[in-house]
Amino acid sequence: MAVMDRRIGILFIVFVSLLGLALARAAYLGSVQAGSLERAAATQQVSNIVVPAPRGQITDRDGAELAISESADDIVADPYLIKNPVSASAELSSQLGTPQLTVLKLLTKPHTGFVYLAHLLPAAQATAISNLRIAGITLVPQARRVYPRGDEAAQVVGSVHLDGDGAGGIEFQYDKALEGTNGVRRIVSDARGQPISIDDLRPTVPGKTVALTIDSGLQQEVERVLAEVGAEYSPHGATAIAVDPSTGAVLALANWPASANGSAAAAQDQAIGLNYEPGSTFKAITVAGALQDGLVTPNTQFDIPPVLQFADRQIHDAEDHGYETLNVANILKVSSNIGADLIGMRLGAKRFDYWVRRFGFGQPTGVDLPGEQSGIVLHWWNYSGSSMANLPFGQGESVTPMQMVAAYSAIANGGTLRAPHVVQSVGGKATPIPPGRQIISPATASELRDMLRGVFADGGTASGAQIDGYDMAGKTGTANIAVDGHYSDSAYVASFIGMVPTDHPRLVVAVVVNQPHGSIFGGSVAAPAFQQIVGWAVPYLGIPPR
Amino acid sequence: MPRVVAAGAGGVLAAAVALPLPVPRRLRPVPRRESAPKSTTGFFPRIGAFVVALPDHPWLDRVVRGRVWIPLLGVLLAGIVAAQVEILKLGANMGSSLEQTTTLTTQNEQLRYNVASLSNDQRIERLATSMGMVLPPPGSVGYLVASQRADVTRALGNIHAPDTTAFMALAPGNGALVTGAGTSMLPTTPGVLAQAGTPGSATPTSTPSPTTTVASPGPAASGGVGTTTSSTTGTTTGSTTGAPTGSTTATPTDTTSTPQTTDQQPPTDPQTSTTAQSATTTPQSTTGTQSGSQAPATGAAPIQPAGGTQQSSGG
Repeated sequence: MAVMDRRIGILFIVFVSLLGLALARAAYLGSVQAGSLERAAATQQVSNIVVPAPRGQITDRDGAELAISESADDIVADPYLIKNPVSASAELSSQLGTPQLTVLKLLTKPHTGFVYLAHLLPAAQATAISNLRIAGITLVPQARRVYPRGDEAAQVVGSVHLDGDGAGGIEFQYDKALEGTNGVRRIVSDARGQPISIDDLRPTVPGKTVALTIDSGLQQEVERVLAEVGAEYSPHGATAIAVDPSTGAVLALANWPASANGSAAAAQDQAIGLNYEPGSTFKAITVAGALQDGLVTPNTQFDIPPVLQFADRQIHDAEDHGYETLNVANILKVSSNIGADLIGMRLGAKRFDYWVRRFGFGQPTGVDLPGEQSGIVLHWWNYSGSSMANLPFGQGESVTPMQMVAAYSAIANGGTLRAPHVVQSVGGKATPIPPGRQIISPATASELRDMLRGVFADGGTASGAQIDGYDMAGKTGTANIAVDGHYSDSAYVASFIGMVPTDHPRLVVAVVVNQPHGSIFGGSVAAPAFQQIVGWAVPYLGIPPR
Repeated sequence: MPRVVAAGAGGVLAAAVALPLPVPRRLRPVPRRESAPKSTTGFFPRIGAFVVALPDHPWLDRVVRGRVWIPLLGVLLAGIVAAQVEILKLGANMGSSLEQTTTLTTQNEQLRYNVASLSNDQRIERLATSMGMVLPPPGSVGYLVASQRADVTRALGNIHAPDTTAFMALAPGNGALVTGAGTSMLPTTPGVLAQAGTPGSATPTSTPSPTTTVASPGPAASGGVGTTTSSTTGTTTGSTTGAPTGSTTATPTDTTSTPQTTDQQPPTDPQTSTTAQSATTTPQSTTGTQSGSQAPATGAAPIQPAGGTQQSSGG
């Protein structure tokens, strides 16, 4: 029994000794070494990572995705930690698609512990690199922007910078709504690097979806038609806009060339960025003002001389003719410059200027796209003696295609000028339709549409653009481009703006072709494009024939 | 007896007569009041009593004095270790779950990208064209007007899922237009199929009105001088030569209001037929644009520029 007690005593002493040693060690680590160990643990086992918020989608009116975000990674190397740069560069170069020498140069960059090897690498590639398990290679999670439908509506959708911020178009205009809020996640790992605790310190808030009024099907058709115009006439640029005139919703907005070639011209949204002299499409504005002021009616007759002497200018029509009499409807039908001037004279400079501004020219339309130009419109007190010789038929003022579409939409919807808009909803919440203001009476708008119907009739400047079964109204425009203070004889802007059906238009389409080659006329360059677009759109949108 | 208290320094005696201390009274022992007998029927009192009595419990005495506590302690320690291991395993699972979440999110994004790409309208249109389908010309699409006495129940009863088999059976003949109830415009041969998308192809025979729609998206859409087609209406005149005098005397009729329909006549003119077949090889045949030797569908000659006149911006 004494032996047993002694052994138990020994064991007790051993246990107590070991326990004492453990306590002493714990006290040492917990007091003397506490600071350094805490720092080491914070850097080695606790990491706060930023969880990038997925940028909101941009969709068309039916939810077709035009821009989405997907996971990607930046690949970062710490040259201090790369043990074998040669073999590492060999493995990485095949995954990165970069020459090995380039990777090796980065991996051996002196005096730095941080080198980017790649930006926004797709997740699959990044995972492959992660699986290489090369010490000193880190993946920084990011999100990259992809456009599943390529260049469709490229200038409307816009683009993002490398850091994910909007750079243009809707991406820029609605950047705040799209970007969301990045989250912060705290991960505590054990000594082997296995996470043992994950806390979302700040939750990730995804960006909101921005739904456009753009109709993807119509948009693609408009782009296809513009591409044909581009191929046939090799213009400097071209743009087309399709709008629902009752709401101002932009159903399609296309530019040629598209942004694929990366040229500066392609990057510009010509629909809102092109200042051009509208030419004869502007005659409708002159006539609208005169109609609304009660100065003319559709049947008011004008004696049209072959040449109109106005101050120091001689005004010709595009087609030579003798003395003739045309009523207002026919002036629009055959697009008489002299006739438009005579109507403008009845208005006078002050009232003409009033109506130009009443239709929204000289200021941005307010469309929800960045970078909209306001055009150049002189005030009436700045007119020269001969200004009224060319302003009434669309020379001497600069407008944007979007302004023209807004003005013609007002004619189409009964006289309400409303800002066009391209965003239908943000985060599922419908954006309000911009309020409109009545600028001409419904009766005047109706009379004007009736007259513009004649442009498609036999003898009209766009008779070839008629679509059987459909009643359409519109106006051609062929405008010289001013070069060095003089109108060029070789550079023109061909345009056409029309609506369908005439009585209750549901679609307004404008086609503007800047400096076409081969043919220059709105009736032969832009009107056929209008015809193709509308011909495709009417069954697509369910617009019945008359 | 009074006590003298010496105070202060300097040897000054300040004698004072102190009051006699009170003689402590011997307190009589207060008999402890017997507390009221506590109820032993309550739960907590019984628990308390058990805890108080535990150190003297014979079972504990036996465990401490015996060897049972060794395996008991071992089991407890093993349990603690096992719990730690489980925590580690949970952590590891958390990490793998996180990784899996990331992978699935990435796959989801990729799939969404694929869906967006595959639902591209132009792609679907190309596929449809390759299957022989064409877009009808704008004027040939009929629209039904709902009757005031419409029977909603009956209409709902007529809605059914598309029959894939029936559709595929029609596939070889797709490309023509089916108009009206029970009246098919399906051609009998693939060559005739192209008739639907033939620019400038005219049906050589006239069909008296009332008629139905005929799919011909070519120049019928343009209606320009020199183009003649039998697009939306009954009587058609003119030729396919693109002569500038030819014009369509088409009188658009409401296809929905015409109860009778007439099948399209197969082309008998070899030239027309050839034109039709060649036209199907051009993508424009589905969009109504001009092709071949037809005159441009610009209609009336556009206004020519006045030579040297700067103010000639007529449309």
